[in-house]
Amino acid sequence: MHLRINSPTVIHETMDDEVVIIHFESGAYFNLRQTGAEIWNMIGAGHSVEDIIRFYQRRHANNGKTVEQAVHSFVDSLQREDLVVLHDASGQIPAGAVSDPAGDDAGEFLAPSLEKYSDMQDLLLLDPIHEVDADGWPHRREESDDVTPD
Amino acid sequence: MSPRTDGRTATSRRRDEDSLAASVAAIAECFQSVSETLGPVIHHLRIDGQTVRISFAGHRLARTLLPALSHLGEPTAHSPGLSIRIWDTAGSGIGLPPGVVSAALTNAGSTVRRLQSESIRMMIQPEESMISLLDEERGEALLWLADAGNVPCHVRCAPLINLLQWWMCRHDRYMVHAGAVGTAAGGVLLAGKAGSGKSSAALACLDSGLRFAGDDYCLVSMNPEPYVHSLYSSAKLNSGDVDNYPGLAPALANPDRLATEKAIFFLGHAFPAALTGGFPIRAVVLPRVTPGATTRLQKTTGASALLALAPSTLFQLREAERETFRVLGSIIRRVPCFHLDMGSERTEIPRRIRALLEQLDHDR
Repeated sequence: MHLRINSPTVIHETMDDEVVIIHFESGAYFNLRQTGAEIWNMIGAGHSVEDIIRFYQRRHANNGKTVEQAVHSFVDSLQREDLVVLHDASGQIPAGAVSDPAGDDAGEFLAPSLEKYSDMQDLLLLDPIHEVDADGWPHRREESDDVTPD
Repeated sequence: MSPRTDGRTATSRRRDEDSLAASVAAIAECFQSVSETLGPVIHHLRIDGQTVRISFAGHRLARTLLPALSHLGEPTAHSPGLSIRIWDTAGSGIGLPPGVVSAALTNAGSTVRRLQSESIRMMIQPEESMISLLDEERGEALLWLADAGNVPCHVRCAPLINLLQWWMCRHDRYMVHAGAVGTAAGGVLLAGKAGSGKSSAALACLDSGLRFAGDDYCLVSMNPEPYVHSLYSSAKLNSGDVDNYPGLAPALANPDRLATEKAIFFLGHAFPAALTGGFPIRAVVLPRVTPGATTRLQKTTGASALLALAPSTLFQLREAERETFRVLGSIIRRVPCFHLDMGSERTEIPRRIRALLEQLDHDR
């Protein structure tokens, strides 16, 4: 399964080993640390969920089942929050296996988690941006016959 | 997010653009008429190399909106990049002319509305009874208020914020929800949500040798180094905190309204030497009120700083969000970040920040 970051609705910045994510439509924002930030960046680099799981199973040889469950659970949470969406990568060159400079069996697997903050949502939902029309406010998209097919 | 790329028709877009332009022109004519009657009051501001010409229709508007900007006054005006014309209905007796803009105000209900077309940006703030309009291409802006005698304190503290933000984005200066204190050699950006202690920290530094560049909103840029530009010389405090800052009494603007408003301080006239136009950013500091007397700085991560700075900036100010987020990320990657645990001993705040700046200067 391939996913992609839900740009441009979502913007993100990696700061050291953390990622800060903002979802413009929901008004929620998020923080990822360590494993979560790694997985986010692997998704951004085009790796499939299966590649990501294999990477952690190689790195943490004794935690195979835990890794698979944790990655799936984390990816589900990213999808629920609309931060990533399914992506058809059939026409693309595969990103290939994830390389691991730390080598195999890097110790205990730290399960990824998504920290969510919702305290700005009221600001956003009360304050949308719209386009003006001749009748003032609000504008509704016309179903008229002069639609340009762009 | 931009409605400029939606699937609307070319014909209807052109029609809307024309009707909006006609409405804006009608408002500009109104301003001209009002201004000739009341007498135009002209002021020039200098903001990071940009001259902004402001024409007020009458002195009352100037008295209401200028104090927070007085430190940016430019006696010898350069050719303005932006011209802003401001008028109000209560002072002139003339309402908004009919058209798209007045219809938009009527239809907005009680909710803030931001509208934009190809060249014109508009923000309607029904609770403030205020409309901001900017024609980006022409560098001309209009601000209409219902009543200059009844302007909320957040507008008096940060006047023209939408117009200035829209305009300065064109010059790669981005508005941030942050305060700033420092010296010409460098200073700190004070970041955090409302109530985190930005104002308390900034005001505690006033007579310490650290200069004040803002307590709530500033402009930042990254060319060539992280830099903060002062925009407002106002500050707000919860009225219950006023007694903790007795030295600020000469700048208190609303002593008779502390029961219903935050305390407003206009520092430009009372403390001109304590203000600065800006400085290089050497650190991002996140104030937080902590129990006990001790005030101290603790190193924190860039992600913590970005979480404190970006969401409140982007969701409040809603302009050039992607560029602003990118610039904030760039700034934070370039400078260290700290929590400022503020105990009851507020005189420690400037001392800690000065020591930090000296240390960072030494390490450079």
